[in-house]
Amino acid sequence: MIRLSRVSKVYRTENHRKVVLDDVTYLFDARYTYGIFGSNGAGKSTLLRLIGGSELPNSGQIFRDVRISWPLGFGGGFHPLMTGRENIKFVSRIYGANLRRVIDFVEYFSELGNYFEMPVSTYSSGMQARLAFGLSMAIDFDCYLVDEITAVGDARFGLRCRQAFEEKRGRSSMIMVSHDIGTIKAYCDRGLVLYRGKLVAFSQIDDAIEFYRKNL
Amino acid sequence: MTSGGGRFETIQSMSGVPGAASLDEDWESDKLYSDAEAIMEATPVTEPLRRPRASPLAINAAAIRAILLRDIRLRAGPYYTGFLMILLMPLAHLLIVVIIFHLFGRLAPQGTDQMVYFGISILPFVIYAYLSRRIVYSLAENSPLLFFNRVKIFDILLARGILEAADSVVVIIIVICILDVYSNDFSPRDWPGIVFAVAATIYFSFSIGVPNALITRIFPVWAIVFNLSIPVFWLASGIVFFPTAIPEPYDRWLALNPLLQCVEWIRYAYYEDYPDKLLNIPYLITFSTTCLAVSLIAERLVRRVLLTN
Repeated sequence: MIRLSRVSKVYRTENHRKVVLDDVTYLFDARYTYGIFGSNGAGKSTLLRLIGGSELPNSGQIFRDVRISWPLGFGGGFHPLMTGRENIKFVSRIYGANLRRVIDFVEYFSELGNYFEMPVSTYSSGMQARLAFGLSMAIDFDCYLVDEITAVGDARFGLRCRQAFEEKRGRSSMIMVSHDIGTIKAYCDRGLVLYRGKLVAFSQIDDAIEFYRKNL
Repeated sequence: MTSGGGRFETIQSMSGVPGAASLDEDWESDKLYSDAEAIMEATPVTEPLRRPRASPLAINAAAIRAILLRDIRLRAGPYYTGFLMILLMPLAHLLIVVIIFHLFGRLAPQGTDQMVYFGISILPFVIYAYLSRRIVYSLAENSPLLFFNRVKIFDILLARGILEAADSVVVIIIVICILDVYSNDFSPRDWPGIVFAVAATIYFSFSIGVPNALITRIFPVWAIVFNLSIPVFWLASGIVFFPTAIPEPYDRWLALNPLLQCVEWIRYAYYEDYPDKLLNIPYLITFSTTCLAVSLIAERLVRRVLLTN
């Protein structure tokens, strides 16, 4: 269970004040998968980082009693000079996972072949996403935070993502942010919209889509 | 899906090798947790067992260990020549200074051996200069790691501190070996005193590095200010002059420099009759501890800003 209690997040630049979250209170139930819509720059990725704990709110509190993944995106956190294998080993060690099992799975899932032994700087963005995605799926979390990642890669990778999520369904939940309606409809059973600093919740995902379309 | 089948066969074909029994058991137990063969052929190796929750201390220890190993790997470089550089840089520094003093004919103010005097005097400075500077840069170099929610700012600093302390110990051992071999008579009065003096220097360097690393995280330009302060420390630490020979009250002012205390301590531990007029060990330890404590409190207070950067 993840509980946001009166959470506000504001970014200040020299002559601008951007309100990402404005006094938001919400409870994420670990039994459901959540899809959060929001236009570009609405603060979807920031919201995921706040939920994950890699960023802190200006005010309010976030309570977590589940193991949450890092926000799964485009290979952020990988060192470009280290090989895919070395990066995988590093992250596995942080999360106390079984190294051999994780490496076996990522090697299979990402289908990087010889690239697995090459520095990440030589990877394309799709390859980095495959590595990052395979890695997070190989480590056991109660809740996965997903940041648009399924939008990259070819159809085969898309299918694998679906399969991996299907496998996790029932024992792990997921919070996915996207501005793509199709992606969220395919993966999630609860819909939310991040709109002008507020998190608007809907029990039916179609209602969330309708609200998002109207206010896009 | 062909490769999934391949992996499946590989795992199964390992049954004959030592240790394969546990592998098979893992595989069987995994199978209980998923009915996913219809979904994905590679399920037996994919689905991890749900592990018990780790304690906060274990999480910190795992993160520090992972960062430490990563730091070692990155410093070693692709051909492991980096390890050589780690040792060579401080040693080269030490050697150049000793040669310069030798060429200018500087006589050792204490004892008879010029090499031993300047060798042990410069040791605390070399530890300080390398250790604290590497800590100051640790957050800037490792900031992408904060992307992983289990990595905390202090984990990065502590991991770097452990690595640099280990480097320092190796450098010290090599320097002492060199001094022992090439000096006329290397015979410290108090070996444990030298060990404590070196440990205190490492502690002080770490304690100074931490607040400066935090400031650098918020104001990157601070790293330049810190680098500029290193020559000042060099001049003010009693390496190029004999602190006890400074007239009062200026010697008391200079004694406020904790690095001078480190230099004085190591000399005091080495020589039979070194004057301990300026040496104040409780001051050195209190200064370092206060510095570290204030940094830890400040880190907690400004964590939101540090993470946002």
